[in-house]
Amino acid sequence: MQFPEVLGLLKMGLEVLALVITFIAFLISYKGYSVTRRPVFARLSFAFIFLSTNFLLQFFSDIFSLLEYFALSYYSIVISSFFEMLGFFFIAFSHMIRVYHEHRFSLLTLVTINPVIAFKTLSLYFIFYAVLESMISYFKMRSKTIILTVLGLTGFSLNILLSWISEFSVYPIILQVFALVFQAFGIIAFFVPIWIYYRSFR
Amino acid sequence: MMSYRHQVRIVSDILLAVKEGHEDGVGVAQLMRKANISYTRLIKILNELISVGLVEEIRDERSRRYRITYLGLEYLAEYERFSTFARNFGLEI
Repeated sequence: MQFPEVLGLLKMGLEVLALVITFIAFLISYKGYSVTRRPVFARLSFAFIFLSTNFLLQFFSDIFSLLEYFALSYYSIVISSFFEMLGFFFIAFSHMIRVYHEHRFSLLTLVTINPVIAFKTLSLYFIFYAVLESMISYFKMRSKTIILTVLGLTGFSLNILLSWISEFSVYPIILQVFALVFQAFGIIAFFVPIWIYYRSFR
Repeated sequence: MMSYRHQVRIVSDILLAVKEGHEDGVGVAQLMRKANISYTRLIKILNELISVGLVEEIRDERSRRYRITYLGLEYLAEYERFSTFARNFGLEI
């Protein structure tokens, strides 16, 4: 098996893992909303269901690519980028709402023409904002698990950044390897709050 | 900066205060102080909590005391779990 094929399989495996983790996070958030009726859980539910959809569509895109339906693969990745952007938007939006209640304000957005790059750019903006606000939350709450969330979001942001750069690169394979490593890191860090939630039942 | 307390938070503050009374229960004055809430609002919420079975009232000739039920403890544990989940993403319920 060639190296790009191994990389492709690894990418698909990570997408399935990310799909499962974000879907579990969606179920917890939705249950949180059903129990507490707090809007923060509604926003987290939207964030995680959109991120799940993104990973599902990324997986489909890889399948279409393997089957050489390149047009379908391209449209899947465009739609998945849109859902990814929506997912991170809702995480950032949750922070915006929290910050709004503390009488502070946030900044503006970026625009490009290619839809994949446009959505990835918006994702980067939202994710960096979420990282920043999570760090501020850490300094206020001093909870060590927030650091893991910060690291997870940073992993996802580096993944998006490298995928974004690889769109313009002549040799994108090295960037894609690092992008996968950062994505794996992000997934593991995002898994920690879920693990803590389930551990509390014991 | 003091943040605005929503209803779910107030209920959990009251339940926590009731829980501290263990088996003997807690009186209204102590609850008002610990949950930082007015008498009228406390009584209204306590009546709601009693009606849904989260708190029970112990009455004698001289006083009224409140004790948390098993369901109340379950509710508090659930609240704490969701609160931690949100906090781990840097958010607050």
